Amino acid sequence: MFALLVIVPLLAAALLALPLKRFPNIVKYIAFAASLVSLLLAYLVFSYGPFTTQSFNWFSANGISFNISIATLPLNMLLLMVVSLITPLVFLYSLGFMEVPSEQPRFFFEMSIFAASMMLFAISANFITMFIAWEMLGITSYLLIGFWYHKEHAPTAARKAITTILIGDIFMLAAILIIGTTYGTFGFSAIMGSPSSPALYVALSFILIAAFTKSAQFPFHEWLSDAMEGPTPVSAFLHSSTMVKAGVFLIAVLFPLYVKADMLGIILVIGLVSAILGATNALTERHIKKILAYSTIEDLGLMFVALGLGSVMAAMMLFFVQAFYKALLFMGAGYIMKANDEKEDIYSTYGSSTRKLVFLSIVIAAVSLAGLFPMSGFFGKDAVNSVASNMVVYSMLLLIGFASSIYIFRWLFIPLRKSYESGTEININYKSTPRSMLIPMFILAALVFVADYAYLKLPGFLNGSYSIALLSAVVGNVIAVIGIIVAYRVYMKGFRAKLSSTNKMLFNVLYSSRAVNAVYLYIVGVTMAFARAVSAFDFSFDKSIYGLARSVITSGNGLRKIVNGQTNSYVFAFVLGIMFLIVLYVLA
Amino acid sequence: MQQYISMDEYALCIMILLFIFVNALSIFHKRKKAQLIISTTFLAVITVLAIVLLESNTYDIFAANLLNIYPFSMFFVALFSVGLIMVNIISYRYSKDYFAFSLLLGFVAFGMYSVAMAYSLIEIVLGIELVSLPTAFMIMVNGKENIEAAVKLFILSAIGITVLAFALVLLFPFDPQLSLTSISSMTGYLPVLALLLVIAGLAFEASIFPFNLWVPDVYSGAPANITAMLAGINKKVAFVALFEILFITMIPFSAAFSSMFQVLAVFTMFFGNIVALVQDNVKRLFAYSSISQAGYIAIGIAAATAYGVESSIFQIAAHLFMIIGTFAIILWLETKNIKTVQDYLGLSSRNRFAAFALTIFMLSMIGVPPLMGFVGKFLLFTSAINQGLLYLTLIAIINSFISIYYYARVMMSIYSKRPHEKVSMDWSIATVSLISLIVVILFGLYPQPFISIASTVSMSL
Repeated sequence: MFALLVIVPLLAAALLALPLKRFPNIVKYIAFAASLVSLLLAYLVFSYGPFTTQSFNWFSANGISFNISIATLPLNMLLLMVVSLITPLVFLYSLGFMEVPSEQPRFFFEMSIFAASMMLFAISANFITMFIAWEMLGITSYLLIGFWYHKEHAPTAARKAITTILIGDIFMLAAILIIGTTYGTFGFSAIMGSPSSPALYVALSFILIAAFTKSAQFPFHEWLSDAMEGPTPVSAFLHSSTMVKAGVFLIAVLFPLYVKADMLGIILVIGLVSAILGATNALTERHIKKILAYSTIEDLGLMFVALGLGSVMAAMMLFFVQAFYKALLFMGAGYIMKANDEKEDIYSTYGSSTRKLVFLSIVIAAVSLAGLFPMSGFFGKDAVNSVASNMVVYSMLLLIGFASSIYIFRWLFIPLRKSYESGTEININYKSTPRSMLIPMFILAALVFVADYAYLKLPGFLNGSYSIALLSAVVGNVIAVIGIIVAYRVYMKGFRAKLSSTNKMLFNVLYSSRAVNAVYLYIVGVTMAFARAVSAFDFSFDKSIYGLARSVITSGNGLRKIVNGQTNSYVFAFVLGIMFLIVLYVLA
Repeated sequence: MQQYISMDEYALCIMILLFIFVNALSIFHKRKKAQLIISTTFLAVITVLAIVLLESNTYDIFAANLLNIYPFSMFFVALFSVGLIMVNIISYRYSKDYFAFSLLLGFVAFGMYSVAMAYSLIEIVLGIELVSLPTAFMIMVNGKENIEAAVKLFILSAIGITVLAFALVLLFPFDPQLSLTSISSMTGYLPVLALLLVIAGLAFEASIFPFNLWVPDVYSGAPANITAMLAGINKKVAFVALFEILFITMIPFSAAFSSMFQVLAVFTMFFGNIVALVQDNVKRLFAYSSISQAGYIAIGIAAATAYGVESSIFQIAAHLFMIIGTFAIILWLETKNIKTVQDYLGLSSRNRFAAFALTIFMLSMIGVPPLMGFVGKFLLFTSAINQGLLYLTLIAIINSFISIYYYARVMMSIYSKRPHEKVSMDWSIATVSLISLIVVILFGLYPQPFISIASTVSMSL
């Protein structure tokens, strides 16, 4: 039960946040302090807690006991570590980022619950506990994405997110009920020890669908890029350690079941498709945060690929290191946006030379994402590459790696392209950024360096068989460097200004989004065509969700007409109802 | 030991009679506060006695074969008494003629008790009649604007009761006593017809589709304190009668009524949830929401096992508290002229407790853990899956998620920021919603005692 203590400070902070509406300053520091206490407790659990599973009875009915049970097994420790490390950093960043005092209590209330539910998720050892955390994550993410409900697209984005997530929740609850009634237990380990049954296949595929919705995998990935309507700290949090990681983590926890059920192929294919989709979309996107969102889809896809290839270790390695560089990149994006008056197009944002150290840390994160040695991102991506036994998969992974090093430096170079000649106003903006936003970025930059080392120091099976294959490492690095060079040549080196005067056509090709699409279509060829086809399907999928909702609402209007206030028509319905019953009886 | 038990039985019987008597007296003495205290005390005493009898696991047929005392009946006597206490408290202030209300409350209570403790089918029919007709009058005494709802309820309940009585006539050849025991030698089409009519008549009261079209009109036309009683208690009385008739008398037909209730549950859930999506009036929205809840409860009957009944009983109790708490707040807000979803904008800045309580009730109705509604739904769903009704469970889950859309609409408008002047809540509403809130949270966090009670109760049936 010791591990459960970790979430207590955050819940306490959340409980304090709303009543103390009039003192936003106190509220934000309470929330921050609570996250630090949680980190401390997580550290204590980490260093002194044994690898155990504990449970206590919540209620039992009909011979099935519904337990709240938690585990501090290596995997749980890993996620707990990530969440409790990222939480204080994101909270610290938010201290500076959320400037409007009246918004702060609500923000820290929702964020604290969000963090606490992710920690509960991290240590859950049965489906009941997991589902509680899972639902809380869904609801709080809905609230946080729609946090600025007065913005034009925020409510829509939040609704889209919750619709997709609810689809997953339906499948999840169904899977849990199936498992509970077949096995009479909800514990992860107990189910893994039981013989498989046909019902288990159904349940496992339901869980897989739920994980794909939560982790924004094809065909449920659209909500994640729209979720950018939320405040930036939320994105930094959501993409690095909470929410989207839940799906991957759940599959990793249940991994032995998927091996037994022989379902790794599906995981591999979906992961690969999502990764390709994410990478290609990130190449052409112009929204500063959406590029990162697509990159998250790609990273999560790679984690699923690693799971599909049968290596929990590789998946967890990427899982761990990705949290730090992605959080840092989002913080950087928030930093750039804030200095540029909340502009979101990378072509209308500018960097600055006044804060070299901050940009250096953003560069570190970008290099890590590109997968260059010795950043931790390299170890994560190399772990995935090295488990690819299949040549097709391996070359796909290399292609994805190439694309990711191009898009992340496109993301970085375009705002930096004329940092020196930019207006003074932006420089002042950069200078006046609150320090609380910068400190977490430095800390994260340091963590990006050491994350791989920390991971290898983790206890348990997680680092069992890790070794770097020289050839694969070199190939990966070379490809990443080529990607960076391409990005540098194309996006950075005064190429644009020169080009716009000399060669109009080439300029259009490279810098107007649609033309770039055409170029990539030429370069990437088959991949992109596939991505197009998939995105068309995805579009129709999205439409079908809304179509369903709308038709439900119109049929609601139609049904409402039946209830017209006329007593005689109610009596008529009564008679019809009796006839209906007779028909039912005859049919039964 | 035996002595004590029968003492309790006598005391219960006397208390119920006294309760009706003193409530009838209220129109003569016209002391409002005294009447509130008296009837609350009586109801509380009845609750305690019923719980004592429930705990001591008494099985007895009492008072010339009229009152059947066993855990099932005692549980519902206690539950209905608690519900009536809450309705009584909120009606104290917001009822136009509290004395008439008190008089009628005595009759309603007697009807409820006789359904719960019925030993013969006649008692059930009379009990249902005693519940629904005084309720129609309760709506009527509140003023002219409520007469339409009252007349609708009166006419339609009259039809429901007639159908039910006719069902009894059809059963008469098989058991002239019409006692509530399993009738073994049921052959031919007569008992089948009786079964159908019983379901139709009681489905009307239990607001199961397609017999429930009156529900939104009456619920939104009646004053909210009566609506709280209609949705919270009256509907549950019909479910109790359904349990008794279906699971005792009609048990040979369990396969038949199980398949019927599967279909009815599906229709009821979809009807309630889908129409609720387009409601603007909050009272009407919760009327539809309570229809959909009736659909969930019906899943337990569709499962047709002791476990199914147990889950239904749990959900009945959960919904009783949730809906009475909700309608208490709605009642109070209506007097402040806050009626539609738009009017609820910024409720949290008007009164934080009301906003919080409403949110918790709605979350519980959705079935968010760890609230009472979640436990209830979870039990219902597992009971259905145990019987191999996976499709029913999936439909119920989908419905739960559809319902999020309309509850979330209310929640969003409650918590959206609109600076408003504060509105203070008076003690009666605060007490009732606080009781409901505590029950919903407490038995969500620690449902075990309630589940064990529900289990013994369903076993005793």
